[in-house]
Amino acid sequence: MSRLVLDVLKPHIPDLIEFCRSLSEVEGVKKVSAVVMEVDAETDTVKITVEGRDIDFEALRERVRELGGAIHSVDEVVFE
Amino acid sequence: MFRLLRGSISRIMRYSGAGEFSRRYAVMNAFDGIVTILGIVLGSTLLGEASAGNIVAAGVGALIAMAISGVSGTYMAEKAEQERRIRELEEAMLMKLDNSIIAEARKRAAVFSAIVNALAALVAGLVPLSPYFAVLSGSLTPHLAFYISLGLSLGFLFALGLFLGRIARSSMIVSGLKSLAIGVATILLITLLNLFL
Repeated sequence: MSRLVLDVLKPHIPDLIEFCRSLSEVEGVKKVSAVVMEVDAETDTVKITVEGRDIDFEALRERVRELGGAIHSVDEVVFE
Repeated sequence: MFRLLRGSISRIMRYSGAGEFSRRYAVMNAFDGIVTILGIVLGSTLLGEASAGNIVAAGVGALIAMAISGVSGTYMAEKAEQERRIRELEEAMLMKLDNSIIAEARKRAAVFSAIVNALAALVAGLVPLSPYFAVLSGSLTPHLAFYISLGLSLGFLFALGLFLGRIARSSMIVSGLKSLAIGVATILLITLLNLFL
């Protein structure tokens, strides 16, 4: 898996920078980019694009959960 | 599992907001520590003939009691407060946050605040008490120790006021003088009490 676009709900803290930095440390991930879609009282909805080689999706999902977030949907997947 | 978080106080602060209330607790309890010792020193010197040993014993006893009450009280209050925040966040996220770094940081924040709370009172109280330790070791006279202790108390209160002024980004001098006035008011009240007893 070389590219994933995720719809993620996260709390305001950790902020987007820390959130993405932490995701970029997951095995197989080379690049993480994110766009904020919506800001609510307690949460942010963000679209996160993860690129790399052999991305470990389970590890990625676990990391999102550790950071207090939840993957709501996988909107795009690329295998190479 | 949480190598991300381990040992990182700054992360605890950022994820839980503990920096702000730890600062608040530190100032509040430093005040408590100083004014308590000021009261003990003044009361025992003006109202009776207490020896330096008595003052040190009473002062250290009061500070230990304050530290214990600070640790337990703050831990319980702060833990409840932090758990409420986690529950609120869980409701917003529609999921459990049990193993997340946010929940972990917030739980540690309660311990951190409790320690800060206790240490602030203890350290701040020991400053005005220190001249009496010098009396016990024979390097100061009790008379001189009394005035140095008062000076240290008022100086420390003024410094705390300056610090609060800086936090509030208002006039540091005015804030320092306000806090100094609290010390002076304590001295006046106890002296007044001395006249009637």
